[in-house]
Amino acid sequence: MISREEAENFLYLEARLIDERQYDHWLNLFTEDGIYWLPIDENARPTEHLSLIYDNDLRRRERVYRLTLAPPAQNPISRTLHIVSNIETAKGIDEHEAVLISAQMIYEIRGGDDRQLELGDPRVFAARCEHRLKREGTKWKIALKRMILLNRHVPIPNLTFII
Amino acid sequence: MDQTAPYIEPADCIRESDNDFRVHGTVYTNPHLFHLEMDQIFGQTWVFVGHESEIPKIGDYKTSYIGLRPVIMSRGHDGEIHVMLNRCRHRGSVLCRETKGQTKNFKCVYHGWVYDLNGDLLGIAKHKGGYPEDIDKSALGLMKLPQIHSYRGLIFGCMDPNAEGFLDYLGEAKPFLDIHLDRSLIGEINLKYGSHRTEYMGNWKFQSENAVDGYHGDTVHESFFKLVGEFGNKSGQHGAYTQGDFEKIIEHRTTGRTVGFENGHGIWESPMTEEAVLAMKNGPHADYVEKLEKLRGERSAHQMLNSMNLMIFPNLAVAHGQLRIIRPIAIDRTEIAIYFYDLKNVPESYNEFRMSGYQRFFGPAGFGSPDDVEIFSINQTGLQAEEVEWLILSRGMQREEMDSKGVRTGDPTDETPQRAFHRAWKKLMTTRPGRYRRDIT
Repeated sequence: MISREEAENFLYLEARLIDERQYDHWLNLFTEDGIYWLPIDENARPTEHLSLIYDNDLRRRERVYRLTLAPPAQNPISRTLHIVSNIETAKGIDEHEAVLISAQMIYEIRGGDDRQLELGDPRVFAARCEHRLKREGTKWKIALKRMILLNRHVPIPNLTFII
Repeated sequence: MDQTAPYIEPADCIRESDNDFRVHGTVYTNPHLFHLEMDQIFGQTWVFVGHESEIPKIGDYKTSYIGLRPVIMSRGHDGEIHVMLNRCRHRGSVLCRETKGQTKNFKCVYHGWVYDLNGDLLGIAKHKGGYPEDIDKSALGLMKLPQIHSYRGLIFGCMDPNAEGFLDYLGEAKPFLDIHLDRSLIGEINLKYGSHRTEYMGNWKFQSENAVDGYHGDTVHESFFKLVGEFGNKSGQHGAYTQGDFEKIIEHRTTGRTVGFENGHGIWESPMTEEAVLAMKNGPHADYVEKLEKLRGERSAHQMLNSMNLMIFPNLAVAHGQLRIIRPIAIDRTEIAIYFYDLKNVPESYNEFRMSGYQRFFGPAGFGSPDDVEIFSINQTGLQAEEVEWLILSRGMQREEMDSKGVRTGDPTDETPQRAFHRAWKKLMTTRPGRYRRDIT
């Protein structure tokens, strides 16, 4: 069973790695078969309904690689601040697994010539997160990060940053 | 946006002469022109409303829009599809506030008037004494669209009772819509996967132009092509790029063609290489390709598998296994909804392969869509410099060829489809006086 302190530390670390754009470190938080998933219909399997993101290891590495190329949607880049709250922990199938439920508020803002359209206006994303962790040696790793955005059904512009 | 901006006659907004084609910037920035468009473009053409598969059962409905007009598409007690304006005859409230649902009838939340699934007025709340006993209820149903047409499951509506029929409207672009639908082994699609929705701070026409633009990819999607060069296509294939080599992809992008049709439709086509077709024939989906070839013998598997984007004027793109609906909200605000569709009667594994490739590129977090959308707001910001009056859309005019049916073919990076779009725009915007100059009936 994961301790509350371990759970908090894990989620806070992940949030900070994303905010600090330490993506290689972030990639290493996942197990090799780990999934990073933002569903639109949270009751459907990923083959039954489009998802906003459904990334396996390869797709995650592609996503991170793309961010290093400064594509138009991330030039200027997004800066984010993740606030993690309402943490609950639960047992996994055995002592090597754990489930963390949290609420997250993500603030995002792009800089540049901030009076231009789509730049400079802060955006807030709210989400319920589920992290399924697996013990690998001395470390917890993410087998599944499932993030259910509050605004998943309405038009979302530019989710190109790591959320 | 400046609501008091000077009004420019649409006829003056598009200029064409030998090897020179220009569109005036106000076409994208002037709110008066936007309102004229909602009437003259969206009020005179065939506009995609939805797909049959979205409302399979009696009582199913979905809401949609024709320009700014809210509409309801429903499956009536007669099993037929009905499309009517989502506006109560009484005082103008919308009837449906959900995007999709199941109902017995449509009841107005304001004063309780009730309409049947096909829009007929069933009852007026507290009728007795309030209105004459013999009030003509048949004249008070929801306003039905003057024309609707179901083409292989795609439902189009037209607000103009005098407009030409849908097939005439589609004209020479029809075979290209058929190619997309014929990729199903029974020629049918299903919109069962929902949609990706995004929006941008820019004019709707930017997306209509871009959907068949073969010129922007090298720059806007450079990161995607580099990504394919780096990682190959193991995580999902998008487009005709099976090369897994950045330089080869860029080289490949000079192959293919663009076509512009009468009525503003257009295509951009990027063919698969022989090598890529061979890979498909010998890959995990060989069974599907073989069946497709057998079934669609008259067209080569090559053509059937090509990457081909079709823009149906004014706001539907059919490309990469998706229906993309471009919804104008305001002169500088647009929604895009992308419905990735299921090809019926093809192996499940092939649809999963398609979906994975689709999702790699499209959607708000895809590796391609957000970059296009970003450009549209970049354009909108730039156009505030109004002293530079014209946008230049003349690329490839000197090498464009026109056949006897008015179909023009250009190189894959030419602005042939964009010119077709704007010619149609000009024609429609100048053929009848706008709503604000029309008599009330």
